[in-house]
Amino acid sequence: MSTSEDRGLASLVNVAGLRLLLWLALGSWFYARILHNPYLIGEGHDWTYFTHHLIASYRTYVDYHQLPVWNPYFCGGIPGIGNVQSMAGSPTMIFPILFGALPGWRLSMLVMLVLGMEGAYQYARHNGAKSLGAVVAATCFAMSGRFVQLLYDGQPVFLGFEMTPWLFVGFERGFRDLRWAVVGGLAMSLVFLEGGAVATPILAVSLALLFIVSTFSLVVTRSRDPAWWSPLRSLLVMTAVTVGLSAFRLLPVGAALLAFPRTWEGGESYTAAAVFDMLFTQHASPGYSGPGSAYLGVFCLLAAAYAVAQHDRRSVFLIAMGFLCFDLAMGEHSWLHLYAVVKHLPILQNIRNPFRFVVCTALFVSVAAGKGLWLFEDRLLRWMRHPSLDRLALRFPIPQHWTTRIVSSAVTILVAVPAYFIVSQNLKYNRGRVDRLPLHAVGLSMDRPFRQSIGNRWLAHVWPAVNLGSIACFEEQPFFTSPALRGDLPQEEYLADPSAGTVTRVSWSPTRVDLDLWLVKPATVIVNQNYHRGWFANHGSVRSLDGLLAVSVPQGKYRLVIRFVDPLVVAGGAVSVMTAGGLLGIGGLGVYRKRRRRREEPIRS
Amino acid sequence: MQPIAPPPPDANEGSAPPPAAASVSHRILSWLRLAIPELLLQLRNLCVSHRILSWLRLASLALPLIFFAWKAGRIVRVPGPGRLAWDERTGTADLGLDTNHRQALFEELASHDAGWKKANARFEDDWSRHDDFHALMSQHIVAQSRTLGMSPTILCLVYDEAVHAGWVSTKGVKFEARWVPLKPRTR
Repeated sequence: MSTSEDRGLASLVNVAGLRLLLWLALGSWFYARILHNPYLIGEGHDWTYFTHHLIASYRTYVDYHQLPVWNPYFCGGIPGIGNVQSMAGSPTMIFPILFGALPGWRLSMLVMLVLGMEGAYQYARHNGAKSLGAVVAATCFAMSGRFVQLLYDGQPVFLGFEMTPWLFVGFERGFRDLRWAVVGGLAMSLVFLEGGAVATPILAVSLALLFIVSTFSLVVTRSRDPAWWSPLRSLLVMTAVTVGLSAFRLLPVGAALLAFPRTWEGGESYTAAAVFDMLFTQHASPGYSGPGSAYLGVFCLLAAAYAVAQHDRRSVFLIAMGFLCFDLAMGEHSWLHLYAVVKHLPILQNIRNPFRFVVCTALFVSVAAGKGLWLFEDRLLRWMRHPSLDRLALRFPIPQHWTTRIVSSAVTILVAVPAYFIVSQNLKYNRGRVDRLPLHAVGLSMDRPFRQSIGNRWLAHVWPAVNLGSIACFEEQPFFTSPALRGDLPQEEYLADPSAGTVTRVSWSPTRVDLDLWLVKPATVIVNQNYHRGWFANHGSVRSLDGLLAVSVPQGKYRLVIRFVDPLVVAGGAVSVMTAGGLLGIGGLGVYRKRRRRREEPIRS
Repeated sequence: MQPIAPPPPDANEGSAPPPAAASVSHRILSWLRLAIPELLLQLRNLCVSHRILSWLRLASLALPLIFFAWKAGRIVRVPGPGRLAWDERTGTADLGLDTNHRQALFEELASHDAGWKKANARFEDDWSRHDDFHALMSQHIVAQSRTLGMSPTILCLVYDEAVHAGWVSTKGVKFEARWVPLKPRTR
């Protein structure tokens, strides 16, 4: 029997629909607590922060039918899509838009989990793990501890890390087929658009590491197919797709980061024992980066060790990559000083939370474990196909193909035993933690005319739900905020000189304010929001007055329309649309050519 | 002339089927034995040649979609938090509390002002002091809302109303209506 084919019942996972159904069922079971309680949030402070950004974006999309390029609900107005931590521009926002802010958010988390499982499955298959082995790898990675810890920390945006296997499989398969590099680029843009302020640089560094190791191994082995330059080609295509697709966010985020850099002066270091404990030790309350916070399980490690012990070259490669990520996770205690090197690279000086590199270690170990299981299955099958067993089988009146099936099923059952132990060790601990997640009600909502409130950033989610802005806020980036913002104004739009006339609000939306002016002399209209270069008006000139948005207008009776249009979002949007259109066009052309070839083949024959 | 007598009946006549009938059932059985594998083979060939299997694989994608739709339906049907009414005419929110009750809540909140300010005096910069003040206030609001059995939103809106209307407590406490510009976190 061929050793490269899937066997028995496990081969059912080859059917994409059945496999996705399995992932969905597993994901629903794993995240049951948060899925069945969509209106409850965790107690970690970041829950309130990210819920705020979600509700603010949701209101802008659904109530005002606008792109959330500006978020007037926080700090007196800050960039929306241009905020690197916001998920306002993520494709997963489609779920909140369709199913309601909070239920849709939970569904998007489920989708990310499923994508993670499918990605890890694909990466395991790419590395030679088949049937049950690939399923185990997918389950172990996508449901590892960091994807539970993010619920405790209140950082669902870190579900972007579920895209890690897609990056790696896209990159590696892209050596031979550039369509896979496009898939990798799509995954990377999703990581960034999902609010991956931390995930993007960490995954970029991991990918760069994989690129270096892959190129080195191709050069050393003098490989011709793929050639030594294939990794570079794949990486370039991935980068082009990522930059192109996320340009509408990349440009405003870049501008905002240049103007208000995310500075990180703190040193972070973890001992090897601490990083090992994150992955392989259970703990009642792991904390942000404590033991068990990235739990994978010792059985998973043992299966990976078995794969290495079988002298499987690919598994050795995976474990080597896992070790490099482990080393990076140690931060400034890094044995190979990789983290120090990364910190000296341009753009990456402010990289933080090195312990998050354990996500990549978890992936490499999971895939190696899956490969180990597959090798174990293969070895069992060889034993059971021993000639003496064949002779024994001949004594019974059983057809030959039946014998093969019986043997395959027996092997599957035998392999299911270690597979069960690997997966159950992981899931019992991690799912148990999801079940114990403390949750509390998110609060009430209200539709009322918008105005600024002094607010409270520790209860940030409360304010946009009742259409109030919270001037009190916190952002990792020091966005410009005016000291003149007030939470006690009778009118949000007013004249600097009240004797100049009257201002009446006609309509308000996050990116457009319509005002009726009746002025007896030239005046300055002040809006109780921060000034930003993206504000434009149809009359007069927009300027900053003590940091507030102000418009110098002439006298008369007319309607003043103040709009927020960020030229960088517009320019980036054009690039993104062209990239998406180009990719769709190339894809469509490929499908058309393939069909035409198929149609022509019988004629030729 | 004696008519020719018919041949004597067989000893087994009546219990055994006639030879012709036996051959029919035998034929049917043998035909089935041959036909079923043949039929399966033909079906398999049909599947392969007409790409029915590919279509079946494609159709299987409907299964996760159905599951997802079912799950989404379940999640969407979970009762959401209540909605507060907004009175356009008076320009006020209906919190279900009269003015006296709201002012009593404000008095209670304001009574902690001095303690919170004292607690955050350890911070050097203005932003951190303000932020710590709000951290303590938010903890109090959450605890108080549990005690009173009301949503934290209500208490937040009372706080907002107090700031907006410039309420002053009996001890002369008035919450600030301004905030210190954002300070980045660097560690």
